[in-house]
Amino acid sequence: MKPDVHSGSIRNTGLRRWALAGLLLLAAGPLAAAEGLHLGGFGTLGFVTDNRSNIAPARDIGQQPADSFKTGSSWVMDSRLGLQVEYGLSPTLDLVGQFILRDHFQSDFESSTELAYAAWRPSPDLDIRAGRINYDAFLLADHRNVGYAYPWIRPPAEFYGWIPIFSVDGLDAAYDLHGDEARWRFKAQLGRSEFAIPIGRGYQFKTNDLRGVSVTRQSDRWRLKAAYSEFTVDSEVPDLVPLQAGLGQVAAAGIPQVSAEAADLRRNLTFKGTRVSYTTLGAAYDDGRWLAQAELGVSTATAAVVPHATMAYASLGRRFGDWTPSLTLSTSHPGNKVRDAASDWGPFNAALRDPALFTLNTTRIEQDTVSLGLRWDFHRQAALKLQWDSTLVKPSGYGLWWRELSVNGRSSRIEMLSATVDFAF
Amino acid sequence: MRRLLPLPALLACLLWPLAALADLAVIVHPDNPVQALTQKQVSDLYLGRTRHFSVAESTAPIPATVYELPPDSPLRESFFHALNGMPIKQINAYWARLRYSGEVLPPPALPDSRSVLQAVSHDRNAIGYVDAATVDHSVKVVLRLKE
Repeated sequence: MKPDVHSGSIRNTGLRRWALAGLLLLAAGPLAAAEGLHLGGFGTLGFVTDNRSNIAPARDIGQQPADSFKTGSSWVMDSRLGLQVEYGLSPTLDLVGQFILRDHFQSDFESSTELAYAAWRPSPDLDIRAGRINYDAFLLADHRNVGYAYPWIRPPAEFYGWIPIFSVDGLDAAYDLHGDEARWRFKAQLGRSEFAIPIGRGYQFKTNDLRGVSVTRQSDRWRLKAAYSEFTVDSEVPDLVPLQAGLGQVAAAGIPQVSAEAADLRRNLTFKGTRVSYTTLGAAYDDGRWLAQAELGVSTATAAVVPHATMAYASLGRRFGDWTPSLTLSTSHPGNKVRDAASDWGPFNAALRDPALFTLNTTRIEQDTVSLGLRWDFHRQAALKLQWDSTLVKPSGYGLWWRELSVNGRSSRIEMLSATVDFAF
Repeated sequence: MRRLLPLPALLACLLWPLAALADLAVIVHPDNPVQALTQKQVSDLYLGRTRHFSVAESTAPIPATVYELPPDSPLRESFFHALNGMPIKQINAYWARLRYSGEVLPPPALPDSRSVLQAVSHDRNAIGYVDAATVDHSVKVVLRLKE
Protein backbone atom coordinates (compact mmCIF):
# COMPACT_ATOMS: atom_id res chain seq x y z
CA MET A 1 0.00 0.00 0.00
CA LYS A 2 2.78 2.39 -0.88
CA PRO A 3 2.66 4.75 -3.82
CA ASP A 4 6.19 6.02 -4.19
CA VAL A 5 5.78 9.38 -2.57
CA HIS A 6 8.21 10.72 -0.04
CA SER A 7 6.64 12.27 2.98
CA GLY A 8 7.49 13.03 6.53
CA SER A 9 4.73 15.36 7.56
CA ILE A 10 3.10 13.09 10.12
CA ARG A 11 6.21 11.16 11.02
CA ASN A 12 7.40 12.09 14.47
CA THR A 13 10.96 12.40 15.58
CA GLY A 14 12.79 9.80 17.60
CA LEU A 15 13.23 12.41 20.31
CA ARG A 16 9.50 12.67 20.85
CA ARG A 17 9.22 8.92 21.03
CA TRP A 18 11.87 8.64 23.72
CA ALA A 19 10.29 11.52 25.64
CA LEU A 20 7.11 9.47 25.62
CA ALA A 21 9.03 6.44 26.88
CA GLY A 22 10.45 8.49 29.71
CA LEU A 23 7.00 9.75 30.68
CA LEU A 24 5.62 6.22 30.71
CA LEU A 25 8.40 4.95 32.91
CA LEU A 26 8.07 7.93 35.28
CA ALA A 27 4.34 7.31 35.56
CA ALA A 28 4.92 3.60 36.12
CA GLY A 29 7.17 4.06 39.14
CA PRO A 30 4.68 5.40 41.71
CA LEU A 31 1.87 3.30 40.24
CA ALA A 32 3.80 0.10 40.88
CA ALA A 33 3.62 0.68 44.60
CA ALA A 34 -0.19 0.48 44.60
CA GLU A 35 -1.92 -2.65 45.88
CA GLY A 36 -3.30 -4.98 43.17
CA LEU A 37 -1.24 -3.31 40.48
CA HIS A 38 1.15 -5.27 38.28
CA LEU A 39 3.65 -3.96 35.80
CA GLY A 40 5.25 -5.91 33.04
CA GLY A 41 6.79 -5.33 29.69
CA PHE A 42 8.53 -6.67 26.65
CA GLY A 43 10.87 -5.37 24.06
CA THR A 44 13.12 -5.99 21.11
CA LEU A 45 16.41 -4.50 20.09
CA GLY A 46 16.79 -5.32 16.43
CA PHE A 47 19.13 -4.82 13.55
CA VAL A 48 18.33 -5.59 9.92
CA THR A 49 20.30 -5.22 6.73
CA ASP A 50 19.56 -6.09 3.10
CA ASN A 51 21.43 -6.41 -0.16
CA ARG A 52 19.43 -3.94 -2.27
CA SER A 53 20.21 -0.30 -2.81
CA ASN A 54 16.91 0.52 -4.51
CA ILE A 55 14.48 -1.47 -2.34
CA ALA A 56 13.81 -1.09 1.38
CA PRO A 57 11.80 -3.36 3.68
CA ALA A 58 9.19 -2.45 6.27
CA ARG A 59 7.99 -4.63 9.11
CA ASP A 60 4.43 -3.70 8.23
CA ILE A 61 2.66 -1.18 6.01
CA GLY A 62 2.43 1.32 8.85
CA GLN A 63 6.19 1.90 8.65
CA GLN A 64 8.11 4.26 6.44
CA PRO A 65 11.88 3.79 6.38
CA ALA A 66 13.92 6.92 7.12
CA ASP A 67 15.42 6.75 3.66
CA SER A 68 12.57 5.14 1.82
CA PHE A 69 14.44 3.78 -1.14
CA LYS A 70 18.02 3.21 -0.20
CA THR A 71 18.32 1.75 3.26
CA GLY A 72 21.17 -0.61 3.76
CA SER A 73 20.49 -1.33 7.41
CA SER A 74 18.23 -0.23 10.22
CA TRP A 75 18.09 -0.34 13.99
CA VAL A 76 14.52 0.94 14.18
CA MET A 77 12.53 -1.40 11.94
CA ASP A 78 12.24 -4.24 14.49
CA SER A 79 13.12 -2.39 17.71
CA ARG A 80 10.29 -1.68 20.11
CA LEU A 81 9.43 -1.39 23.77
CA GLY A 82 6.15 -2.36 25.41
CA LEU A 83 4.88 -1.64 28.88
CA GLN A 84 1.79 -3.21 30.41
CA VAL A 85 -0.09 -2.06 33.49
CA GLU A 86 -2.63 -4.40 35.06
CA TYR A 87 -4.91 -3.54 37.94
CA GLY A 88 -7.22 -6.05 39.60
CA LEU A 89 -10.30 -4.21 40.84
CA SER A 90 -11.82 -7.45 42.08
CA PRO A 91 -11.30 -11.19 41.45
CA THR A 92 -13.56 -10.88 38.40
CA LEU A 93 -12.68 -7.44 37.09
CA ASP A 94 -9.31 -6.31 35.69
CA LEU A 95 -8.08 -3.15 34.02
CA VAL A 96 -5.27 -3.48 31.48
CA GLY A 97 -3.25 -0.85 29.64
CA GLN A 98 -0.47 -1.55 27.16
CA PHE A 99 1.78 1.04 25.55
CA ILE A 100 4.18 0.27 22.74
CA LEU A 101 6.91 2.45 21.33
CA ARG A 102 7.87 1.33 17.85
CA ASP A 103 8.81 2.81 14.54
CA HIS A 104 5.56 3.83 12.97
CA PHE A 105 4.36 6.46 10.55
CA GLN A 106 2.44 8.09 13.35
CA SER A 107 3.67 7.82 16.93
CA ASP A 108 1.84 9.69 19.64
CA PHE A 109 0.31 8.71 22.95
CA GLU A 110 -2.99 7.74 21.37
CA SER A 111 -1.51 5.54 18.67
CA SER A 112 1.03 4.04 21.09
CA THR A 113 -1.78 2.90 23.38
CA GLU A 114 -2.11 -0.63 22.13
CA LEU A 115 -4.53 -1.85 24.80
CA ALA A 116 -6.75 -0.10 27.32
CA TYR A 117 -9.62 -2.27 28.44
CA ALA A 118 -11.69 -3.54 31.33
CA ALA A 119 -12.10 -7.32 31.49
CA TRP A 120 -15.03 -8.83 33.35
CA ARG A 121 -15.47 -12.53 34.12
CA PRO A 122 -19.05 -13.16 35.18
CA SER A 123 -18.19 -16.87 35.28
CA PRO A 124 -14.83 -18.68 35.02
CA ASP A 125 -15.58 -19.62 31.41
CA LEU A 126 -16.79 -16.25 30.14
CA ASP A 127 -14.59 -13.23 29.41
CA ILE A 128 -16.04 -9.89 28.36
CA ARG A 129 -13.68 -7.05 27.45
CA ALA A 130 -14.50 -3.47 26.57
CA GLY A 131 -12.20 -0.64 25.54
CA ARG A 132 -9.17 -0.89 23.28
CA ILE A 133 -8.69 -4.60 22.72
CA ASN A 134 -6.38 -6.54 20.41
CA TYR A 135 -7.52 -7.58 16.97
CA ASP A 136 -8.22 -11.29 17.08
CA ALA A 137 -8.19 -12.54 13.50
CA PHE A 138 -5.07 -14.72 13.18
CA LEU A 139 -2.86 -16.93 15.33
CA LEU A 140 -0.37 -14.12 15.88
CA ALA A 141 -2.59 -11.09 15.32
CA ASP A 142 -2.88 -10.26 19.00
CA HIS A 143 0.81 -10.49 19.94
CA ARG A 144 2.76 -9.49 16.82
CA ASN A 145 4.79 -7.04 18.86
CA VAL A 146 5.84 -9.59 21.50
CA GLY A 147 8.88 -11.05 19.76
CA TYR A 148 9.89 -13.00 22.86
CA ALA A 149 6.74 -15.14 22.44
CA TYR A 150 7.57 -16.54 18.96
CA PRO A 151 10.60 -18.17 17.33
CA TRP A 152 11.15 -15.78 14.40
CA ILE A 153 12.41 -12.21 14.13
CA ARG A 154 8.99 -11.11 12.86
CA PRO A 155 5.76 -12.80 11.83
CA PRO A 156 5.91 -13.78 8.11
CA ALA A 157 5.45 -10.54 6.13
CA GLU A 158 3.40 -12.22 3.41
CA PHE A 159 0.75 -12.96 6.02
CA TYR A 160 1.12 -10.21 8.61
CA GLY A 161 3.05 -7.38 6.96
CA TRP A 162 -0.01 -5.85 5.36
CA ILE A 163 -2.64 -6.51 8.04
CA PRO A 164 -2.93 -2.95 9.26
CA ILE A 165 -5.20 -3.45 12.25
CA PHE A 166 -3.47 -4.05 15.58
CA SER A 167 -6.16 -3.02 18.02
CA VAL A 168 -9.88 -2.38 18.04
CA ASP A 169 -11.93 0.09 20.06
CA GLY A 170 -14.95 -1.94 21.03
CA LEU A 171 -15.81 -5.09 22.89
CA ASP A 172 -15.37 -8.81 22.67
CA ALA A 173 -16.64 -11.87 24.46
CA ALA A 174 -14.97 -15.26 24.77
CA TYR A 175 -16.62 -18.42 26.02
CA ASP A 176 -14.69 -21.57 26.93
CA LEU A 177 -15.92 -25.13 26.64
CA HIS A 178 -13.82 -27.85 28.23
CA GLY A 179 -13.60 -31.31 26.73
CA ASP A 180 -11.53 -34.24 27.96
CA GLU A 181 -8.64 -33.46 25.65
CA ALA A 182 -8.99 -29.83 24.77
CA ARG A 183 -10.45 -26.45 25.49
CA TRP A 184 -12.61 -24.78 22.87
CA ARG A 185 -12.76 -21.01 22.92
CA PHE A 186 -15.46 -19.16 20.99
CA LYS A 187 -14.89 -15.48 20.58
CA ALA A 188 -16.75 -12.61 18.95
CA GLN A 189 -15.48 -9.08 18.48
CA LEU A 190 -17.07 -5.79 17.47
CA GLY A 191 -15.67 -2.30 17.19
CA ARG A 192 -13.91 0.41 15.26
CA SER A 193 -10.28 1.08 14.40
CA GLU A 194 -8.21 4.02 13.22
CA PHE A 195 -4.51 4.50 12.43
CA ALA A 196 -2.17 6.26 10.03
CA ILE A 197 -0.59 4.65 6.98
CA PRO A 198 2.14 6.33 4.92
CA ILE A 199 0.36 6.66 1.60
CA GLY A 200 1.34 9.93 -0.02
CA ARG A 201 1.14 12.69 2.57
CA GLY A 202 -0.50 10.29 4.99
CA TYR A 203 -3.71 8.34 5.19
CA GLN A 204 -5.86 8.10 8.30
CA PHE A 205 -7.47 4.69 7.92
CA LYS A 206 -10.83 4.32 9.68
CA THR A 207 -13.37 1.60 10.06
CA ASN A 208 -16.48 1.78 12.21
CA ASP A 209 -18.04 -1.63 11.74
CA LEU A 210 -15.36 -4.24 12.35
CA ARG A 211 -16.83 -7.63 13.23
CA GLY A 212 -15.06 -10.89 13.85
CA VAL A 213 -15.57 -14.40 15.16
CA SER A 214 -13.04 -17.09 15.97
CA VAL A 215 -12.89 -20.62 17.32
CA THR A 216 -9.73 -21.92 18.97
CA ARG A 217 -9.05 -25.47 20.07
CA GLN A 218 -6.22 -25.75 22.57
CA SER A 219 -4.90 -29.16 23.61
CA ASP A 220 -1.59 -30.16 25.15
CA ARG A 221 0.33 -29.93 21.91
CA TRP A 222 -1.97 -28.32 19.37
CA ARG A 223 -3.55 -24.92 18.98
CA LEU A 224 -5.97 -24.73 16.07
CA LYS A 225 -7.77 -21.58 15.10
CA ALA A 226 -10.36 -20.64 12.52
CA ALA A 227 -11.38 -17.03 12.21
CA TYR A 228 -13.40 -14.68 10.08
CA SER A 229 -13.55 -10.91 10.26
CA GLU A 230 -14.87 -8.14 8.06
CA PHE A 231 -15.08 -4.36 7.99
CA THR A 232 -15.87 -1.43 5.74
CA VAL A 233 -13.18 1.17 5.07
CA ASP A 234 -14.63 4.47 6.22
CA SER A 235 -12.09 7.06 5.04
CA GLU A 236 -10.50 8.09 1.77
CA VAL A 237 -6.84 8.51 0.86
CA PRO A 238 -6.47 12.30 0.39
CA ASP A 239 -3.84 11.92 -2.34
CA LEU A 240 -6.23 9.84 -4.45
CA VAL A 241 -9.11 12.31 -4.41
CA PRO A 242 -7.97 14.41 -7.43
CA LEU A 243 -7.40 11.23 -9.45
CA GLN A 244 -10.84 9.91 -8.51
CA ALA A 245 -12.42 13.24 -9.47
CA GLY A 246 -10.71 13.20 -12.87
CA LEU A 247 -11.80 9.62 -13.49
CA GLY A 248 -15.33 10.62 -12.49
CA GLN A 249 -15.37 13.35 -15.12
CA VAL A 250 -14.18 10.98 -17.83
CA ALA A 251 -16.75 8.42 -16.69
CA ALA A 252 -19.52 11.03 -17.00
CA ALA A 253 -18.39 12.18 -20.45
CA GLY A 254 -20.15 9.35 -22.25
CA ILE A 255 -17.18 8.32 -24.40
CA PRO A 256 -17.67 4.74 -25.66
CA GLN A 257 -15.39 2.23 -23.87
CA VAL A 258 -13.29 4.98 -22.26
CA SER A 259 -16.02 6.15 -19.87
CA ALA A 260 -16.82 2.60 -18.83
CA GLU A 261 -13.14 1.92 -18.14
CA ALA A 262 -12.83 5.20 -16.20
CA ALA A 263 -15.85 4.33 -14.08
CA ASP A 264 -14.44 0.91 -13.30
CA LEU A 265 -11.00 2.32 -12.46
CA ARG A 266 -12.59 4.92 -10.19
CA ARG A 267 -14.56 2.28 -8.32
CA ASN A 268 -11.46 0.11 -7.88
CA LEU A 269 -9.35 3.06 -6.72
CA THR A 270 -11.71 4.12 -3.94
CA PHE A 271 -10.85 3.13 -0.37
CA LYS A 272 -13.93 4.58 1.29
CA GLY A 273 -16.82 2.15 1.28
CA THR A 274 -14.68 -0.88 0.40
CA ARG A 275 -15.71 -4.07 2.16
CA VAL A 276 -12.78 -6.17 3.36
CA SER A 277 -12.87 -9.69 4.77
CA TYR A 278 -10.27 -12.07 6.23
CA THR A 279 -10.84 -15.81 6.55
CA THR A 280 -8.08 -17.86 8.14
CA LEU A 281 -7.18 -21.30 9.36
CA GLY A 282 -4.16 -21.73 11.60
CA ALA A 283 -2.40 -24.54 13.44
CA ALA A 284 0.45 -24.46 15.93
CA TYR A 285 2.16 -27.55 17.33
CA ASP A 286 4.63 -27.78 20.18
CA ASP A 287 5.68 -31.03 21.86
CA GLY A 288 8.61 -29.49 23.70
CA ARG A 289 11.12 -30.65 21.10
CA TRP A 290 9.45 -29.95 17.75
CA LEU A 291 7.45 -26.86 17.04
CA ALA A 292 5.52 -26.13 13.89
CA GLN A 293 3.08 -23.49 12.79
CA ALA A 294 1.11 -22.86 9.62
CA GLU A 295 -1.65 -20.53 8.53
CA LEU A 296 -3.73 -20.18 5.42
CA GLY A 297 -5.71 -17.03 4.77
CA VAL A 298 -7.94 -15.58 2.12
CA SER A 299 -8.82 -11.93 2.10
CA THR A 300 -11.23 -10.15 -0.18
CA ALA A 301 -11.82 -6.47 -0.95
CA THR A 302 -14.53 -4.95 -3.11
CA ALA A 303 -12.02 -2.42 -4.54
CA ALA A 304 -8.82 -3.74 -6.12
CA VAL A 305 -6.60 -1.02 -4.65
CA VAL A 306 -7.09 -2.31 -1.09
CA PRO A 307 -4.58 -5.17 -0.76
CA HIS A 308 -6.21 -8.58 -0.74
CA ALA A 309 -4.69 -11.96 -1.33
CA THR A 310 -4.47 -15.64 -0.65
CA MET A 311 -1.59 -16.00 1.75
CA ALA A 312 0.06 -18.86 3.60
CA TYR A 313 3.11 -19.81 5.58
CA ALA A 314 4.50 -22.93 7.19
CA SER A 315 7.29 -23.07 9.74
CA LEU A 316 9.12 -25.93 11.37
CA GLY A 317 11.57 -25.69 14.26
CA ARG A 318 13.35 -28.00 16.64
CA ARG A 319 14.69 -27.28 20.09
CA PHE A 320 18.21 -28.40 20.98
CA GLY A 321 18.35 -27.25 24.58
CA ASP A 322 18.38 -23.46 24.43
CA TRP A 323 18.87 -23.40 20.65
CA THR A 324 15.94 -23.48 18.22
CA PRO A 325 16.68 -23.43 14.49
CA SER A 326 13.66 -23.02 12.23
CA LEU A 327 12.74 -22.98 8.55
CA THR A 328 9.80 -20.93 7.27
CA LEU A 329 8.21 -20.71 3.83
CA SER A 330 5.64 -18.03 3.12
CA THR A 331 3.75 -16.78 0.10
CA SER A 332 1.19 -14.18 -0.96
CA HIS A 333 -0.82 -14.21 -4.19
CA PRO A 334 -2.92 -11.11 -4.84
CA GLY A 335 -6.64 -11.39 -5.52
CA ASN A 336 -6.35 -8.89 -8.38
CA LYS A 337 -4.42 -9.44 -11.61
CA VAL A 338 -1.99 -6.84 -12.99
CA ARG A 339 -4.23 -4.49 -14.90
CA ASP A 340 -3.41 -3.09 -18.34
CA ALA A 341 -5.07 -0.34 -20.34
CA ALA A 342 -8.19 -1.48 -22.19
CA SER A 343 -8.68 1.56 -24.41
CA ASP A 344 -6.95 4.67 -25.70
CA TRP A 345 -7.86 7.82 -23.74
CA GLY A 346 -6.02 10.17 -26.06
CA PRO A 347 -4.86 13.25 -24.14
CA PHE A 348 -5.89 11.64 -20.83
CA ASN A 349 -3.60 8.63 -21.18
CA ALA A 350 -0.77 10.25 -19.26
CA ALA A 351 -2.86 12.49 -16.99
CA LEU A 352 -5.41 9.97 -15.72
CA ARG A 353 -5.38 6.50 -17.20
CA ASP A 354 -1.74 5.61 -16.58
CA PRO A 355 -1.54 7.03 -13.02
CA ALA A 356 -4.75 5.14 -12.21
CA LEU A 357 -3.35 1.87 -13.54
CA PHE A 358 -0.05 2.47 -11.78
CA THR A 359 -1.73 3.07 -8.43
CA LEU A 360 -3.94 0.04 -8.85
CA ASN A 361 -0.98 -2.22 -9.56
CA THR A 362 1.30 -0.74 -6.94
CA THR A 363 -0.56 -2.11 -3.93
CA ARG A 364 -0.42 -5.73 -5.10
CA ILE A 365 1.60 -8.07 -2.89
CA GLU A 366 3.00 -11.00 -4.82
CA GLN A 367 6.05 -12.61 -3.28
CA ASP A 368 7.54 -15.74 -1.70
CA THR A 369 10.03 -15.91 1.14
CA VAL A 370 12.31 -18.63 2.50
CA SER A 371 13.58 -17.89 6.01
CA LEU A 372 16.18 -19.64 8.12
CA GLY A 373 16.15 -18.61 11.74
CA LEU A 374 17.92 -19.40 14.96
CA ARG A 375 16.71 -18.54 18.46
CA TRP A 376 19.01 -18.82 21.44
CA ASP A 377 17.35 -18.56 24.84
CA PHE A 378 20.46 -17.32 26.59
CA HIS A 379 18.52 -16.04 29.62
CA ARG A 380 15.34 -16.97 31.49
CA GLN A 381 13.53 -13.98 30.03
CA ALA A 382 15.55 -13.06 26.95
CA ALA A 383 16.49 -14.60 23.63
CA LEU A 384 18.87 -13.73 20.82
CA LYS A 385 17.59 -14.38 17.32
CA LEU A 386 19.29 -14.46 13.94
CA GLN A 387 17.40 -14.78 10.68
CA TRP A 388 18.12 -14.86 6.97
CA ASP A 389 15.24 -14.13 4.60
CA SER A 390 15.34 -14.56 0.87
CA THR A 391 12.34 -13.01 -0.87
CA LEU A 392 11.36 -13.18 -4.51
CA VAL A 393 9.00 -10.34 -5.45
CA LYS A 394 7.10 -10.76 -8.72
CA PRO A 395 6.57 -7.91 -11.22
CA SER A 396 3.98 -5.44 -9.89
CA GLY A 397 3.93 -7.27 -6.56
CA TYR A 398 5.88 -4.77 -4.45
CA GLY A 399 3.11 -3.68 -2.08
CA LEU A 400 5.23 -4.49 1.00
CA TRP A 401 8.39 -2.68 -0.13
CA TRP A 402 9.64 0.83 -0.54
CA ARG A 403 11.40 0.96 -3.88
CA GLU A 404 12.43 2.96 -6.89
CA LEU A 405 9.85 3.02 -9.66
CA SER A 406 12.24 1.31 -12.06
CA VAL A 407 11.95 -2.06 -10.30
CA ASN A 408 8.13 -2.26 -10.49
CA GLY A 409 7.96 -4.10 -13.78
CA ARG A 410 10.44 -6.84 -13.01
CA SER A 411 11.12 -9.52 -10.42
CA SER A 412 13.50 -8.87 -7.55
CA ARG A 413 15.36 -11.16 -5.19
CA ILE A 414 15.97 -9.49 -1.82
CA GLU A 415 18.17 -10.99 0.87
CA MET A 416 17.76 -9.75 4.43
CA LEU A 417 19.81 -10.53 7.49
CA SER A 418 18.37 -9.69 10.91
CA ALA A 419 19.42 -10.00 14.52
CA THR A 420 17.36 -9.19 17.59
CA VAL A 421 17.41 -9.52 21.33
CA ASP A 422 13.85 -10.11 22.54
CA PHE A 423 12.91 -9.94 26.18
CA ALA A 424 10.01 -9.87 28.62
CA PHE A 425 10.00 -8.61 32.16
CA MET B 1 25.97 -39.77 78.33
CA ARG B 2 23.46 -39.47 75.49
CA ARG B 3 22.94 -42.44 73.26
CA LEU B 4 23.93 -42.15 69.67
CA LEU B 5 21.21 -42.64 67.07
CA PRO B 6 21.44 -45.87 65.07
CA LEU B 7 23.24 -45.32 61.77
CA PRO B 8 20.20 -45.76 59.44
CA ALA B 9 18.21 -43.25 61.46
CA LEU B 10 21.11 -40.82 61.40
CA LEU B 11 21.39 -41.16 57.60
CA ALA B 12 17.66 -40.68 57.20
CA CYS B 13 17.84 -37.49 59.27
CA LEU B 14 20.70 -36.19 57.18
CA LEU B 15 19.10 -37.05 53.85
CA TRP B 16 15.55 -36.06 54.73
CA PRO B 17 15.88 -32.34 54.02
CA LEU B 18 17.41 -33.09 50.62
CA ALA B 19 14.60 -35.48 49.73
CA ALA B 20 12.03 -32.97 50.97
CA LEU B 21 13.47 -30.23 48.80
CA ALA B 22 12.83 -32.30 45.73
CA ASP B 23 9.24 -33.07 46.75
CA LEU B 24 6.50 -30.67 45.75
CA ALA B 25 2.94 -30.62 46.97
CA VAL B 26 0.00 -29.06 45.16
CA ILE B 27 -2.34 -27.76 47.84
CA VAL B 28 -5.90 -26.48 48.19
CA HIS B 29 -8.06 -25.30 51.07
CA PRO B 30 -9.27 -28.16 53.34
CA ASP B 31 -12.91 -27.29 52.54
CA ASN B 32 -12.38 -27.63 48.80
CA PRO B 33 -14.41 -30.71 47.70
CA VAL B 34 -11.64 -31.69 45.30
CA GLN B 35 -9.75 -34.65 46.77
CA ALA B 36 -7.11 -35.19 44.09
CA LEU B 37 -6.03 -33.64 40.82
CA THR B 38 -4.16 -35.16 37.89
CA GLN B 39 -0.99 -33.60 36.50
CA LYS B 40 -2.93 -32.52 33.41
CA GLN B 41 -5.59 -30.79 35.51
CA VAL B 42 -2.97 -28.88 37.48
CA SER B 43 -1.04 -28.11 34.29
CA ASP B 44 -4.19 -26.66 32.69
CA LEU B 45 -4.67 -24.38 35.70
CA TYR B 46 -1.04 -23.21 35.66
CA LEU B 47 -1.01 -22.69 31.88
CA GLY B 48 -4.11 -20.49 32.05
CA ARG B 49 -6.19 -23.02 30.07
CA THR B 50 -8.90 -23.33 32.69
CA ARG B 51 -10.01 -21.16 35.59
CA HIS B 52 -11.90 -23.71 37.63
CA PHE B 53 -11.47 -27.01 39.40
CA SER B 54 -12.66 -30.13 37.64
CA VAL B 55 -15.64 -31.43 39.58
CA ALA B 56 -18.59 -33.68 38.78
CA GLU B 57 -20.63 -32.37 35.86
CA SER B 58 -23.77 -32.15 37.99
CA THR B 59 -22.27 -29.52 40.27
CA ALA B 60 -21.39 -25.94 39.44
CA PRO B 61 -17.73 -25.38 38.62
CA ILE B 62 -15.60 -24.02 41.47
CA PRO B 63 -13.56 -20.99 40.38
CA ALA B 64 -9.86 -21.43 41.09
CA THR B 65 -7.58 -18.73 42.45
CA VAL B 66 -4.13 -19.78 41.29
CA TYR B 67 -1.02 -18.73 43.21
CA GLU B 68 2.41 -18.71 41.64
CA LEU B 69 5.97 -18.26 42.82
CA PRO B 70 8.29 -15.54 41.42
CA PRO B 71 9.61 -16.04 37.86
CA ASP B 72 13.15 -16.69 39.11
CA SER B 73 12.16 -19.17 41.83
CA PRO B 74 14.05 -22.52 41.61
CA LEU B 75 10.95 -24.23 43.04
CA ARG B 76 8.89 -22.91 40.12
CA GLU B 77 11.39 -24.40 37.70
CA SER B 78 11.23 -27.77 39.50
CA PHE B 79 7.43 -27.59 39.59
CA PHE B 80 6.93 -27.20 35.84
CA HIS B 81 9.66 -29.70 35.07
CA ALA B 82 7.93 -32.32 37.24
CA LEU B 83 4.41 -31.29 36.19
CA ASN B 84 4.58 -31.16 32.40
CA GLY B 85 8.25 -31.26 31.46
CA MET B 86 8.33 -27.65 30.25
CA PRO B 87 11.64 -25.84 30.84
CA ILE B 88 11.24 -22.49 32.58
CA LYS B 89 12.31 -20.55 29.47
CA GLN B 90 9.49 -22.15 27.50
CA ILE B 91 7.05 -21.36 30.29
CA ASN B 92 8.14 -17.71 30.30
CA ALA B 93 7.75 -17.38 26.51
CA TYR B 94 4.36 -19.13 26.71
CA TRP B 95 3.13 -16.74 29.39
CA ALA B 96 4.47 -13.72 27.49
CA ARG B 97 2.05 -14.61 24.69
CA LEU B 98 -0.94 -15.07 27.00
CA ARG B 99 -0.22 -12.00 29.09
CA TYR B 100 0.63 -9.46 26.42
CA SER B 101 -2.05 -10.66 23.99
CA GLY B 102 -4.55 -9.93 26.75
CA GLU B 103 -5.80 -13.53 26.67
CA VAL B 104 -5.06 -14.40 30.30
CA LEU B 105 -3.31 -12.40 32.99
CA PRO B 106 -0.72 -14.41 34.90
CA PRO B 107 -1.58 -15.62 38.40
CA PRO B 108 -0.23 -13.49 41.26
CA ALA B 109 3.21 -14.55 42.52
CA LEU B 110 3.92 -14.89 46.22
CA PRO B 111 7.48 -14.76 47.54
CA ASP B 112 7.86 -18.31 48.90
CA SER B 113 6.24 -21.59 49.95
CA ARG B 114 5.20 -20.27 53.37
CA SER B 115 3.35 -17.33 51.81
CA VAL B 116 1.59 -19.68 49.39
CA LEU B 117 0.66 -22.02 52.25
CA GLN B 118 -0.78 -19.13 54.23
CA ALA B 119 -2.73 -17.73 51.26
CA VAL B 120 -4.20 -21.14 50.36
CA SER B 121 -5.17 -21.85 53.97
CA HIS B 122 -7.23 -18.61 53.99
CA ASP B 123 -8.97 -18.96 50.60
CA ARG B 124 -11.47 -21.72 49.81
CA ASN B 125 -10.87 -21.29 46.06
CA ALA B 126 -7.10 -21.18 46.15
CA ILE B 127 -4.56 -23.56 44.70
CA GLY B 128 -0.80 -23.37 45.12
CA TYR B 129 2.32 -25.49 45.05
CA VAL B 130 4.87 -25.61 47.83
CA ASP B 131 7.92 -27.40 49.05
CA ALA B 132 6.32 -30.55 50.53
CA ALA B 133 8.27 -30.04 53.74
CA THR B 134 6.25 -26.93 54.57
CA VAL B 135 2.83 -28.65 54.33
CA ASP B 136 0.75 -28.72 57.51
CA HIS B 137 -2.90 -29.38 58.47
CA SER B 138 -4.10 -25.96 57.33
CA VAL B 139 -4.18 -27.17 53.70
CA LYS B 140 -5.06 -30.29 51.70
CA VAL B 141 -2.60 -31.94 49.34
CA VAL B 142 -4.23 -32.87 46.01
CA LEU B 143 -1.12 -33.87 44.06
CA ARG B 144 2.45 -34.80 44.96
CA LEU B 145 5.25 -34.29 42.49
CA LYS B 146 8.73 -35.75 42.65
CA GLU B 147 11.62 -34.12 40.95
